[in-house]
Amino acid sequence: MNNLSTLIYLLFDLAIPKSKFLNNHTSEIIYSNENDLCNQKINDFCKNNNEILEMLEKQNSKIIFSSFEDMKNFLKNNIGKKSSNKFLFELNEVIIFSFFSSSIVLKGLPIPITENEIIEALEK
Amino acid sequence: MTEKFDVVIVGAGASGLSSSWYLVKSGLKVCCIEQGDYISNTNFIPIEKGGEIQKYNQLSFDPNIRKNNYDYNINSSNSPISIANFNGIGGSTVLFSAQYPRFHPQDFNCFSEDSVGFDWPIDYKDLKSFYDLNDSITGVSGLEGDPFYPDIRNLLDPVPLGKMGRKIQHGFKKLGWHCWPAYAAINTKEYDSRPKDNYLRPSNMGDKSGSKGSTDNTYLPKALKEGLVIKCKTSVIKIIEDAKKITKILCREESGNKFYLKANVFILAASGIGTPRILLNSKNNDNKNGLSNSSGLVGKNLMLHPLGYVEGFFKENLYSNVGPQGCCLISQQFYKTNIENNFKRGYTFQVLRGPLPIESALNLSARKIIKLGDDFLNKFLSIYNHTAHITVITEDLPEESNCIQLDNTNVNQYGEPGVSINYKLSENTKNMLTHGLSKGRLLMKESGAYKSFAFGPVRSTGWHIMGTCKMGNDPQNSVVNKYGLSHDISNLFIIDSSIFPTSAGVNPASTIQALSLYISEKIITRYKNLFYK
Repeated sequence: MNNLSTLIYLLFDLAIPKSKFLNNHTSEIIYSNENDLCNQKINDFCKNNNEILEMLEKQNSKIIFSSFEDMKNFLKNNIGKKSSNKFLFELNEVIIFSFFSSSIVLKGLPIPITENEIIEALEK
Repeated sequence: MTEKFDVVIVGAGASGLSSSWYLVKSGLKVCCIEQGDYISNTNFIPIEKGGEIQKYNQLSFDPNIRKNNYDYNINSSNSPISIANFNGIGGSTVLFSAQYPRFHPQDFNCFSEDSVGFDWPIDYKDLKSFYDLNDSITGVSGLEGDPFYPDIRNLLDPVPLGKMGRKIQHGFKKLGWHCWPAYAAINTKEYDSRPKDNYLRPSNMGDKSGSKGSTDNTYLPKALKEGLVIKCKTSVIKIIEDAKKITKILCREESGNKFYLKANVFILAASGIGTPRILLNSKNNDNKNGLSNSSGLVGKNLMLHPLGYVEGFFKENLYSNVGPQGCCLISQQFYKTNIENNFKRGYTFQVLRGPLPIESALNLSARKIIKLGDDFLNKFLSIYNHTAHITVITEDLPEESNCIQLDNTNVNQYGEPGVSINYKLSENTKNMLTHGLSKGRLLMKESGAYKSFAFGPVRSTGWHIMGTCKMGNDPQNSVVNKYGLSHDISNLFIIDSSIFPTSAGVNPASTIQALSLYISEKIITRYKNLFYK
């Protein structure tokens, strides 16, 4: 993946905070996902939302966002509900695509994914 | 030089490949052309390596997302249901869920039974031996003894129900409703040199193992062995007609190179949308409304099986997102007309497995059930594998106003028109959907769900595209006769779901293939003179 701004990594980590199931931060997981479509989606997202990302970066350098909710509130108050919703919709899609297509996530979460796990689950 | 064959078949999907096999094994020189490509196993990324994401690009069932060079544009903005399909060797069976029920005998007599729709010019008895033949080639799993399908035999063991299937089965039993293991074109044991399914990949995301009964796995190898010629990445631009006979078809390869193919017999097997598109686009001075369209019915009577969806949430882990997604249980409790209902005909319930994580998370977040933030993953995991899913497949009745048309505002790189869909739900279908959604929620409650959601019609579910070149005895009221032969053109047959006069309330793949084999047999026996002229 191309190098992205630290702000986008922060957004990834706020969106899906580190959990007991996975040893890595979401940003590390997404960074290591080599799927072309994911990379393209992230790059397109950053390109299309450059101004908003810059605004968020500027704000974060003053007061670090404490949570995803905190970031959402800032956006809503500063760019309005409509633009904020559009940005969040696109961010949601990018993160879900990139997170759940990572083999680290698929193998780490407690969901059957290997042949043995699937057969066992179907026979339970 | 123009190549010449006994038969040219347009489309290598459910009907095209089954017919190809039947005709080529009968000694005919057959060429099957397909606008899409071979989907080899190497095209599939394993699910554990993130392969689900392919559902959102090259393996999308939406041609407007897939955007392969050989997909034509489809505008579904005038329809509550958007078209789903796949162009490639195997056609839409590459991505079908492998649900494989048959039509019932009474489905062929819709008008006589219920004074709605039409009667088919053939009946179940005409197709019975071809259903059996098709099942034997495909490999169908299920359970014998279903009161709704008493004559189905030789099934492979049913696909495992799993914990979720058993949970819902219990709900059906409490309500006293019919329920039966799904009929599935999935190998539950090795069959015909094809392996048992390992369930690593949902059946509607392509098959990596060869265990699914898609026609690229079943009929294609047999037909190639008999000498079938396949031309893939080849589109039909126009059918050339002269004096009520097709003389040749104009084709184009992916490179843009154009060429003609000649044959004694031409067969259209390009689906309920592709077939009328070709006919309408082949208009000439004598046929200003398109070929084989003296009835004016080409493209009309579009039926789509509007789909309702019911989702139940359970406290316990049901492992419900594991296994073949489309196949678990079916119920035909509400399949037949009941005078107490405010609709005629009926629907099938299908109990399904849930989708994989990306689709699940996108769906749940779109419905605001989960949202990014501190609790995202915990909330997701409390729902994923904890849900049961039911679809309501309604019998769609034919209406001339529901149609496909050429769309000259939506052309491909060569300036050829795309297709627009004009479709509305009838009051009958709306009432049927409402009934199905309500009964589905009751079923979820009786099965132990703590919460359920129901909605429909689901937009991106226009897989079953039927009726647009209706079969019938009267040339003024149909496009082809009871043997699939055009009323207007002496050597043009249609064998796909476009010729269905009515849709029944089940997935059509099994019937499409049985009908294709039936017509192929008639071509050889009844119309053999076409090969000697």
